[in-house]
Amino acid sequence: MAELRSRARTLRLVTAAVLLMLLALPTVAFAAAARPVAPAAGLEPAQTTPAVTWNGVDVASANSPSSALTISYNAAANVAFTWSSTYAPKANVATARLAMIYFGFALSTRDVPPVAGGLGPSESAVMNWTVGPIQYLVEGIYGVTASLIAQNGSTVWSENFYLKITAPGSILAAVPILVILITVYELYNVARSGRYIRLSAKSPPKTGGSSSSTAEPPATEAPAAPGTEATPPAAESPPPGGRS
Amino acid sequence: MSAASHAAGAGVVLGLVTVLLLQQFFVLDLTSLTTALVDLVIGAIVGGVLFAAIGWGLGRRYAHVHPDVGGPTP
Repeated sequence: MAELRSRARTLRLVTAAVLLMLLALPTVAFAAAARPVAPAAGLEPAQTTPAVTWNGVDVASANSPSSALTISYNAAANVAFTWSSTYAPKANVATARLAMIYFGFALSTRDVPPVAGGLGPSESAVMNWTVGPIQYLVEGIYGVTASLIAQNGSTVWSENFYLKITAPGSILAAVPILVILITVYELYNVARSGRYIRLSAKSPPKTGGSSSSTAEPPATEAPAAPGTEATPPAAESPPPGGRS
Repeated sequence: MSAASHAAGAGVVLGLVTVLLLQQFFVLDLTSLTTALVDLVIGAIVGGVLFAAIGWGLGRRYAHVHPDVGGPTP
Protein backbone atom coordinates (compact mmCIF):
# COMPACT_ATOMS: atom_id res chain seq x y z
CA MET A 1 0.00 0.00 0.00
CA ALA A 2 2.73 2.38 0.98
CA GLU A 3 4.54 1.34 -2.18
CA LEU A 4 1.54 2.38 -4.25
CA ARG A 5 1.58 5.73 -2.57
CA SER A 6 5.26 6.27 -3.16
CA ARG A 7 4.81 5.11 -6.73
CA ALA A 8 2.09 7.69 -7.28
CA ARG A 9 4.38 10.32 -5.78
CA THR A 10 7.21 9.26 -8.07
CA LEU A 11 4.95 9.45 -11.10
CA ARG A 12 3.85 12.91 -10.05
CA LEU A 13 7.48 14.01 -9.74
CA VAL A 14 8.29 12.59 -13.16
CA THR A 15 5.33 14.48 -14.63
CA ALA A 16 6.51 17.70 -13.03
CA ALA A 17 10.04 17.11 -14.33
CA VAL A 18 8.75 16.54 -17.87
CA LEU A 19 6.76 19.75 -17.71
CA LEU A 20 9.78 21.67 -16.49
CA MET A 21 11.83 20.23 -19.33
CA LEU A 22 9.20 21.32 -21.83
CA LEU A 23 9.26 24.82 -20.45
CA ALA A 24 13.05 24.90 -20.39
CA LEU A 25 13.37 23.59 -23.95
CA PRO A 26 13.80 26.96 -25.63
CA THR A 27 16.25 28.24 -23.03
CA VAL A 28 18.46 25.20 -23.19
CA ALA A 29 18.54 24.46 -26.87
CA PHE A 30 18.81 27.88 -28.36
CA ALA A 31 20.81 30.74 -27.04
CA ALA A 32 19.98 33.70 -29.21
CA ALA A 33 17.05 35.85 -28.31
CA ALA A 34 15.36 38.43 -30.44
CA ARG A 35 16.75 41.87 -29.86
CA PRO A 36 14.59 44.95 -29.67
CA VAL A 37 14.49 47.24 -32.63
CA ALA A 38 17.23 49.84 -32.30
CA PRO A 39 18.61 51.66 -35.33
CA ALA A 40 22.31 51.08 -35.71
CA ALA A 41 24.58 54.06 -35.41
CA GLY A 42 25.68 55.58 -38.68
CA LEU A 43 22.81 54.27 -40.75
CA GLU A 44 20.59 56.50 -42.81
CA PRO A 45 17.02 57.06 -41.68
CA ALA A 46 14.37 55.10 -43.50
CA GLN A 47 13.43 56.11 -46.97
CA THR A 48 11.73 52.89 -47.93
CA THR A 49 11.40 50.42 -45.11
CA PRO A 50 12.66 46.90 -45.68
CA ALA A 51 10.14 44.24 -46.55
CA VAL A 52 10.06 40.48 -46.09
CA THR A 53 8.05 38.09 -48.21
CA TRP A 54 7.17 34.53 -47.23
CA ASN A 55 6.61 32.48 -50.38
CA GLY A 56 5.72 35.74 -52.06
CA VAL A 57 3.36 36.96 -49.34
CA ASP A 58 4.27 40.07 -47.38
CA VAL A 59 4.74 39.03 -43.75
CA ALA A 60 3.17 42.31 -42.64
CA SER A 61 -0.16 40.68 -43.44
CA ALA A 62 0.46 38.07 -40.69
CA ASN A 63 0.70 40.45 -37.76
CA SER A 64 -1.78 38.59 -35.55
CA PRO A 65 -2.20 34.94 -34.54
CA SER A 66 -5.48 34.74 -36.44
CA SER A 67 -3.79 35.78 -39.69
CA ALA A 68 -0.70 33.63 -39.20
CA LEU A 69 1.10 32.15 -42.17
CA THR A 70 0.81 28.38 -42.37
CA ILE A 71 3.58 25.90 -43.02
CA SER A 72 3.74 22.14 -42.71
CA TYR A 73 6.25 20.67 -40.28
CA ASN A 74 8.47 19.33 -43.09
CA ALA A 75 7.94 22.00 -45.73
CA ALA A 76 10.33 24.75 -46.79
CA ALA A 77 9.50 28.38 -47.37
CA ASN A 78 11.25 30.91 -49.56
CA VAL A 79 11.89 33.99 -47.46
CA ALA A 80 13.13 37.12 -49.22
CA PHE A 81 14.38 40.28 -47.51
CA THR A 82 14.56 43.44 -49.64
CA TRP A 83 15.62 46.90 -48.59
CA SER A 84 16.95 50.01 -50.23
CA SER A 85 20.62 50.89 -50.23
CA THR A 86 19.85 54.25 -48.72
CA TYR A 87 18.19 52.59 -45.73
CA ALA A 88 21.03 50.22 -45.04
CA PRO A 89 24.01 49.85 -47.36
CA LYS A 90 25.08 46.29 -47.91
CA ALA A 91 28.37 46.95 -46.21
CA ASN A 92 26.53 47.72 -43.00
CA VAL A 93 24.28 44.66 -42.95
CA ALA A 94 25.96 41.49 -41.78
CA THR A 95 23.02 39.10 -41.90
CA ALA A 96 19.31 38.81 -42.37
CA ARG A 97 17.85 36.81 -39.50
CA LEU A 98 14.67 34.85 -38.91
CA ALA A 99 14.02 33.78 -35.31
CA MET A 100 11.08 31.74 -34.08
CA ILE A 101 10.08 32.90 -30.59
CA TYR A 102 8.57 30.75 -27.82
CA PHE A 103 8.19 31.90 -24.21
CA GLY A 104 10.24 34.97 -25.12
CA PHE A 105 13.22 32.96 -26.30
CA ALA A 106 14.42 32.18 -29.80
CA LEU A 107 13.45 28.58 -30.52
CA SER A 108 15.32 28.50 -33.80
CA THR A 109 17.43 31.17 -35.45
CA ARG A 110 18.54 31.22 -39.05
CA ASP A 111 20.93 33.78 -40.60
CA VAL A 112 21.78 34.48 -44.23
CA PRO A 113 24.15 37.11 -45.61
CA PRO A 114 22.94 39.69 -48.13
CA VAL A 115 23.04 38.63 -51.75
CA ALA A 116 26.42 39.45 -53.23
CA GLY A 117 26.52 41.68 -56.28
CA GLY A 118 27.16 45.16 -57.55
CA LEU A 119 25.92 48.26 -55.86
CA GLY A 120 22.33 48.95 -56.78
CA PRO A 121 19.31 50.81 -55.50
CA SER A 122 18.12 47.85 -53.49
CA GLU A 123 19.64 45.03 -51.52
CA SER A 124 18.28 41.61 -50.74
CA ALA A 125 18.80 38.40 -48.86
CA VAL A 126 17.12 35.11 -49.64
CA MET A 127 16.60 32.22 -47.26
CA ASN A 128 15.20 28.72 -47.72
CA TRP A 129 13.56 28.32 -44.34
CA THR A 130 12.50 25.05 -42.75
CA VAL A 131 11.38 24.26 -39.21
CA GLY A 132 14.64 22.39 -38.81
CA PRO A 133 15.63 19.78 -36.24
CA ILE A 134 12.61 20.52 -34.05
CA GLN A 135 10.13 19.68 -36.80
CA TYR A 136 9.01 16.48 -35.07
CA LEU A 137 8.65 18.19 -31.71
CA VAL A 138 6.43 21.20 -32.16
CA GLU A 139 3.33 22.49 -33.79
CA GLY A 140 1.15 25.47 -33.02
CA ILE A 141 1.36 29.22 -33.35
CA TYR A 142 4.73 30.87 -32.95
CA GLY A 143 5.87 34.45 -33.21
CA VAL A 144 8.66 35.02 -35.71
CA THR A 145 11.00 37.99 -35.82
CA ALA A 146 12.59 38.94 -39.13
CA SER A 147 15.48 41.33 -38.70
CA LEU A 148 18.50 42.84 -40.38
CA ILE A 149 21.61 42.68 -38.23
CA ALA A 150 24.40 45.23 -38.58
CA GLN A 151 28.11 44.47 -38.51
CA ASN A 152 28.33 45.59 -34.91
CA GLY A 153 25.57 43.20 -33.89
CA SER A 154 22.85 45.77 -33.44
CA THR A 155 19.47 45.40 -35.08
CA VAL A 156 19.00 47.65 -38.08
CA TRP A 157 15.37 46.75 -38.60
CA SER A 158 12.97 44.09 -37.48
CA GLU A 159 9.41 42.99 -37.97
CA ASN A 160 7.29 40.47 -36.07
CA PHE A 161 4.79 38.13 -37.62
CA TYR A 162 3.06 34.87 -36.74
CA LEU A 163 3.57 31.41 -38.12
CA LYS A 164 1.31 28.39 -37.77
CA ILE A 165 3.22 25.10 -37.94
CA THR A 166 1.02 22.12 -38.66
CA ALA A 167 1.75 18.48 -37.83
CA PRO A 168 0.24 15.40 -39.49
CA GLY A 169 -3.14 14.53 -38.05
CA SER A 170 -3.05 17.81 -36.12
CA ILE A 171 -1.42 16.16 -33.09
CA LEU A 172 1.39 13.97 -34.36
CA ALA A 173 4.26 15.95 -32.93
CA ALA A 174 6.16 14.94 -29.81
CA VAL A 175 5.10 17.78 -27.55
CA PRO A 176 1.32 17.50 -28.09
CA ILE A 177 1.45 13.71 -27.79
CA LEU A 178 3.36 13.95 -24.52
CA VAL A 179 1.03 16.61 -23.18
CA ILE A 180 -2.03 14.56 -24.13
CA LEU A 181 -0.60 11.52 -22.34
CA ILE A 182 -0.01 13.60 -19.21
CA THR A 183 -3.58 14.90 -19.48
CA VAL A 184 -5.01 11.39 -19.67
CA TYR A 185 -2.95 10.24 -16.69
CA GLU A 186 -4.02 13.21 -14.57
CA LEU A 187 -7.67 12.77 -15.53
CA TYR A 188 -7.36 9.16 -14.38
CA ASN A 189 -5.92 10.47 -11.12
CA VAL A 190 -8.86 12.81 -10.69
CA ALA A 191 -11.34 10.06 -11.46
CA ARG A 192 -10.01 7.89 -8.64
CA SER A 193 -9.38 10.75 -6.23
CA GLY A 194 -12.60 9.98 -4.35
CA ARG A 195 -10.92 6.92 -2.86
CA TYR A 196 -8.41 9.15 -1.14
CA ILE A 197 -11.08 10.15 1.30
CA ARG A 198 -9.94 7.06 3.19
CA LEU A 199 -6.77 8.90 4.06
CA SER A 200 -8.55 11.81 5.64
CA ALA A 201 -10.99 9.59 7.50
CA LYS A 202 -10.66 9.71 11.26
CA SER A 203 -11.44 6.05 11.76
CA PRO A 204 -9.47 3.68 9.56
CA PRO A 205 -11.43 1.21 7.50
CA LYS A 206 -11.72 -2.31 8.63
CA THR A 207 -8.83 -4.59 7.94
CA GLY A 208 -9.57 -7.05 5.21
CA GLY A 209 -10.63 -4.40 2.77
CA SER A 210 -13.91 -5.84 1.60
CA SER A 211 -16.86 -3.55 1.76
CA SER A 212 -19.27 -6.18 3.00
CA SER A 213 -19.77 -4.55 6.32
CA THR A 214 -21.45 -5.40 9.49
CA ALA A 215 -21.79 -2.86 12.25
CA GLU A 216 -18.38 -3.19 13.84
CA PRO A 217 -16.40 -0.05 14.55
CA PRO A 218 -12.64 -0.56 14.45
CA ALA A 219 -12.32 -2.18 17.80
CA THR A 220 -9.25 -4.22 16.97
CA GLU A 221 -7.11 -1.19 16.31
CA ALA A 222 -8.18 0.82 19.31
CA PRO A 223 -5.81 -0.40 21.98
CA ALA A 224 -2.83 -0.51 19.67
CA ALA A 225 -2.00 3.19 19.68
CA PRO A 226 -3.39 5.20 22.53
CA GLY A 227 -1.13 8.21 22.31
CA THR A 228 0.23 8.09 18.78
CA GLU A 229 -2.60 8.76 16.45
CA ALA A 230 -0.47 10.00 13.58
CA THR A 231 0.27 6.55 12.23
CA PRO A 232 -2.73 4.82 10.74
CA PRO A 233 -0.50 2.33 9.01
CA ALA A 234 -1.83 -0.03 6.41
CA ALA A 235 -5.34 1.28 6.26
CA GLU A 236 -4.04 4.76 5.42
CA SER A 237 -2.74 3.91 2.00
CA PRO A 238 -4.85 4.86 -0.97
CA PRO A 239 -6.87 2.09 -2.43
CA PRO A 240 -5.15 0.39 -5.29
CA GLY A 241 -5.98 1.42 -8.78
CA GLY A 242 -8.89 -0.46 -10.21
CA ARG A 243 -9.70 -2.83 -7.44
CA SER A 244 -12.82 -2.53 -5.34
CA MET B 1 -3.79 13.77 1.71
CA SER B 2 -7.50 14.05 1.11
CA ALA B 3 -9.56 13.47 -2.00
CA ALA B 4 -9.76 17.21 -2.59
CA SER B 5 -6.03 17.83 -2.28
CA HIS B 6 -5.22 14.84 -4.45
CA ALA B 7 -7.54 16.10 -7.17
CA ALA B 8 -6.21 19.64 -6.73
CA GLY B 9 -2.67 18.44 -7.43
CA ALA B 10 -3.85 16.74 -10.58
CA GLY B 11 -5.84 19.86 -11.46
CA VAL B 12 -2.77 22.10 -11.26
CA VAL B 13 -0.94 19.83 -13.71
CA LEU B 14 -4.02 19.72 -15.92
CA GLY B 15 -4.22 23.52 -15.91
CA LEU B 16 -0.61 23.78 -17.02
CA VAL B 17 -0.88 21.18 -19.76
CA THR B 18 -4.11 22.72 -21.00
CA VAL B 19 -2.30 26.01 -21.64
CA LEU B 20 0.43 24.16 -23.53
CA LEU B 21 -2.14 22.19 -25.50
CA LEU B 22 -4.07 25.33 -26.46
CA GLN B 23 -0.86 26.75 -27.90
CA GLN B 24 -0.18 23.55 -29.80
CA PHE B 25 -3.74 23.62 -31.15
CA PHE B 26 -3.45 27.17 -32.47
CA VAL B 27 -5.58 28.86 -29.81
CA LEU B 28 -3.08 30.56 -27.52
CA ASP B 29 -0.07 32.65 -28.42
CA LEU B 30 2.83 31.97 -26.03
CA THR B 31 5.38 34.17 -27.77
CA SER B 32 5.79 36.71 -24.99
CA LEU B 33 7.37 35.39 -21.80
CA THR B 34 5.26 37.42 -19.39
CA THR B 35 2.01 36.64 -21.17
CA ALA B 36 2.90 32.95 -21.28
CA LEU B 37 3.76 32.85 -17.57
CA VAL B 38 0.54 34.65 -16.69
CA ASP B 39 -1.41 32.14 -18.77
CA LEU B 40 0.34 29.25 -17.00
CA VAL B 41 -0.32 30.67 -13.54
CA ILE B 42 -3.97 31.30 -14.35
CA GLY B 43 -4.27 27.78 -15.76
CA ALA B 44 -2.69 26.26 -12.66
CA ILE B 45 -4.91 28.21 -10.26
CA VAL B 46 -8.14 27.58 -12.15
CA GLY B 47 -7.27 23.91 -12.59
CA GLY B 48 -6.34 23.48 -8.95
CA VAL B 49 -9.49 25.12 -7.60
CA LEU B 50 -11.83 23.48 -10.09
CA PHE B 51 -10.47 19.98 -9.61
CA ALA B 52 -10.26 20.40 -5.83
CA ALA B 53 -14.02 20.95 -5.89
CA ILE B 54 -14.47 17.96 -8.16
CA GLY B 55 -12.27 15.81 -5.90
CA TRP B 56 -14.20 16.95 -2.84
CA GLY B 57 -17.43 15.89 -4.52
CA LEU B 58 -15.99 12.58 -5.60
CA GLY B 59 -14.77 11.95 -2.06
CA ARG B 60 -18.22 12.58 -0.63
CA ARG B 61 -19.74 10.30 -3.20
CA TYR B 62 -17.23 7.58 -2.42
CA ALA B 63 -17.95 7.89 1.29
CA HIS B 64 -21.65 7.72 0.56
CA VAL B 65 -21.27 4.56 -1.51
CA HIS B 66 -18.82 3.00 0.96
CA PRO B 67 -20.13 3.85 4.44
CA ASP B 68 -17.37 1.87 6.10
CA VAL B 69 -14.88 4.53 5.07
CA GLY B 70 -16.10 6.84 7.76
CA GLY B 71 -15.82 10.08 5.86
CA PRO B 72 -13.77 13.12 6.65
CA THR B 73 -13.09 14.24 10.17
CA PRO B 74 -16.13 15.92 11.67
